[in-house]
Amino acid sequence: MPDPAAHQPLTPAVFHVLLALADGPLHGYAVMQRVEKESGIEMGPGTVYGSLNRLGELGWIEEVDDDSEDRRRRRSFRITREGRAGLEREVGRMVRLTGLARSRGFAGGEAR
Amino acid sequence: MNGVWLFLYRSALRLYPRRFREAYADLMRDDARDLLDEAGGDRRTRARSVRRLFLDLFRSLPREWLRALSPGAARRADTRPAVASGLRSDAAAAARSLSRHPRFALGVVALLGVGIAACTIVASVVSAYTLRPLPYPEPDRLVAVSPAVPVETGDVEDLFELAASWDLDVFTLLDADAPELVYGRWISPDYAELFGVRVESGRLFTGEEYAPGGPAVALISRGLWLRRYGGDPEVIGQRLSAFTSDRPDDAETFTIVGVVSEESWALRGYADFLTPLRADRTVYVGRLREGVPPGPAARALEDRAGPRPAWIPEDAEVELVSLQEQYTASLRPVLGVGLATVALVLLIACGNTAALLLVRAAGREREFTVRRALGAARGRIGRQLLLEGGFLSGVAALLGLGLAVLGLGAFRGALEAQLGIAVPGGVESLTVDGRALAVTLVIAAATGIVFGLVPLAGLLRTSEPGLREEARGSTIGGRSGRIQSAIVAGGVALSLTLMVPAALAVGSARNVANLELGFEPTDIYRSGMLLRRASYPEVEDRAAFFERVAERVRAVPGVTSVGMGPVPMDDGAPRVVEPEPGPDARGLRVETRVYVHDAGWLETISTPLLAGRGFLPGDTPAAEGVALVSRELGARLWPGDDPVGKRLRVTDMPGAGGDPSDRPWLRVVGVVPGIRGGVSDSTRFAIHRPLGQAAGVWTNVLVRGQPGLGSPLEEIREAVGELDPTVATAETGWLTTAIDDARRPARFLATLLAGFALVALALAVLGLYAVLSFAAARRTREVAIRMAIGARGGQVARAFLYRGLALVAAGLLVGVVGAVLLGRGVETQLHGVELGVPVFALCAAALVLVGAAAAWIPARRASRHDPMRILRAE
Repeated sequence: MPDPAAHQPLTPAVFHVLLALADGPLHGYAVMQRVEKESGIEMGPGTVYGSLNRLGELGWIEEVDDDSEDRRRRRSFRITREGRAGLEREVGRMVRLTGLARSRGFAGGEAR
Repeated sequence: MNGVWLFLYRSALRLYPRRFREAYADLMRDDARDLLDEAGGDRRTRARSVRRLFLDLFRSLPREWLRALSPGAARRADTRPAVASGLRSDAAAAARSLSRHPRFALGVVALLGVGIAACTIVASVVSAYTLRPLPYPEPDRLVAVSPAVPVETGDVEDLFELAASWDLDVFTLLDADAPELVYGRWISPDYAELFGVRVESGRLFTGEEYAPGGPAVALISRGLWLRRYGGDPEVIGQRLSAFTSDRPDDAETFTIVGVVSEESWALRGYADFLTPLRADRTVYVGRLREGVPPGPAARALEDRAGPRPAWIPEDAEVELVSLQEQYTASLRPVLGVGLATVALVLLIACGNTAALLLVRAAGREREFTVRRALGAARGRIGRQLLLEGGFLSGVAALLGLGLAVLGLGAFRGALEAQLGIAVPGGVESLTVDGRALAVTLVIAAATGIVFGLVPLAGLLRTSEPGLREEARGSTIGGRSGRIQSAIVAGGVALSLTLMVPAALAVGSARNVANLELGFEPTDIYRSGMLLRRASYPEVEDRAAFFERVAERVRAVPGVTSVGMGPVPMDDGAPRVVEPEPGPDARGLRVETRVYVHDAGWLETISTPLLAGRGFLPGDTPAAEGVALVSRELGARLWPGDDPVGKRLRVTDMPGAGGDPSDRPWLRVVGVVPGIRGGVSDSTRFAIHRPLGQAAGVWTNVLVRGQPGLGSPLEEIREAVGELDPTVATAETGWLTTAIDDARRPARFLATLLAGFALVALALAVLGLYAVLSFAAARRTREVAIRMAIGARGGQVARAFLYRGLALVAAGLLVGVVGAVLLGRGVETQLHGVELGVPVFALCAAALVLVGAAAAWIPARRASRHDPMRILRAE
């Protein structure tokens, strides 16, 4: 069992993929669309499946049987408990970082 | 268009590590398709999708490989921000690294660029001729009947939707200051529809006009309309007097019913005058009915055909050949050779690019090791390598594309002229072909990227940075050494493959340039003239007219001699002659040319009479038929015997049946040197017949003037016009120009092949030199130790030389096979050269010499080092 702490910080790609799955299972193409819609980042299939592959190896996501009516065989992925915990930790890290930055007077463009 | 991108993307998916590919490649392909489909027809969205897909490949490929090869490193890479943040700085690093070695970068770009350009141009030409359909309606169903056995359109209506027949003819147009000769066609009713002939004003012929006894009507070309009528819009309905020499009808008055539009590609400048064909409707080209297969249709047509004319052999099987195939048949060998040649050049360019990248990468191991030791991620180094390779390929691709566009734009007219066949759809359509470009670019890009990545693999094998170890340098060998050796040997092999045909082509071009013609073409002006058969029905009439022309032109000041007859270097249709059987009758039949000329012709072209007599005024139809034979033909028909006094006769066209026994025997009265009947004529078999006994309706006046005499065309026209104002002169010009034209194709092929062979040789030498000099540099330390323990400089240098020569020898062995294959292909296009041991020996010797030089220089440098200094430096 790899030490979860070793996986911090996550790469932006992995983070976005994980975040996209937080609401429920999605297949790869849907992940790609969702990330684009929510954050404007245009990921390609290589990045999406690379990230999914890595997250799968970590046990943070798992494949689910897809019973959608889609003609095509698609594979959907679901976030696991470890995944949620990891995402939680990552967000916590970000919040701490943001707090640190704010304390130095950076507000990220919001009104000072 | 999406199909092409998807194809490229799917091909690129193969580049992922196997496990990843097996797990995700299908999904990625489907997603890529969705992404492209989503864009629909919107170009900008599609461009964005394409960029997204390929940028993603660029980013995720090295990461997946990194993970596959070194899981530990990958885990660390995961924890580093690596999606996009470092890309710009890596690109900058790659650019810096390349700009530090501008000669290397320029070399690679030039190499690949030239290869890409050459390949793209030739592939575009091939595609324009063979892949693009002929610009006719329903081009896929158009077939030519070959050979054209006589069958009437009415008999094949179940096979063909449309069946066209036509007769090529030459028309003499009157009604102007001077009669003008134009090429024209008699066309059958389906012709216009089948070939998509359209008018820009007026109308096509009506069914009634095709009926026997219909009115004399004509369509004229846009060119003729502009030339003769100054583009007069009132031309429709005007009358035009014209006659053809061989139709018995006297001068006809045609009513112009339309002007043919220039889009009617079937006519493209070869036909200025069209008129309805009312008889002899033998089908030449047909449009097959939907679902009718050509094979069975050909059998059916054969069964219904009438008796074959003498010139179609009885046993020849009738085929329905795709019109496109028939159109490009004569071009295929040339295009094949061209394609093979540029493919080889691209291969050498890619190979040498690979060699240069490998050599350079190996030389940078120390740089990478240092950077690793300083904490650089392997991913970063890999990405930089990839960016360098991609950058080089990208610039080379741009250069190649630019060169191809410029080259095709500048030379497409010349290319078309050299190939001698019009580009389907017009020369403007000879542009850079997207498919050709895509294939070439993928090859070039793969070279840059794959070989750019090779050092990365080496880097990953060493688990931890071993600065001390690496810094010592290593001896050449191992995998990268073997790859380099293979590339050098391959380069030599490809060079030989190209050099041998090139040497043959150059030899052939020299042969053609120095052809011993059997006559002297300088300072001879020629002009053809065509008589109306109705006005000159008998041979005597025609001969008398031609002699009167000769007399008048002879009187022009500055003219030294005048002859009436053919242009000597014309590939006329060959005839078959047989000698009168002697006691030992052998039934010998020989294919020869027939020259019909007057007494002055031989003198004018400076061909001497070797034996017997020339033609005399008494050689008339009433007298015994006489002939001169070429020395070569005489020796063939009567070996070891004097031909003068023997008899022979012309039987017919080759392969024909029929009974030749009613043809008259001709007495041989003289012998002349063989005249070359064309670039490819190696036999020089010819008989000469007097104009007085065999004059046709067409002949030339050949005028030899004092050097510096201007064109005597005006005088010729005047002489002809005074004698008969309906006789047109045509095909006028200096004989030397005509002969240069005949020689041009040989020169073109030679220049092309020689140019590519030189490029190939230069590339091979460059590769050899780069690898060997690199090897020498890498082995400095080894050399120093050897010399420190007593080896002499000469010994060390020899060791390097042998290594270089071993590579050359290995390459030569392989190259022989390629050279034989390509050589066979070009041999048919060449004259007076053969693919034999001498040419191989010559090319191999040249490669060995150049290879030895490329090996010797770095070897000398290595052996001159002061061993102590090197060892201390280490």
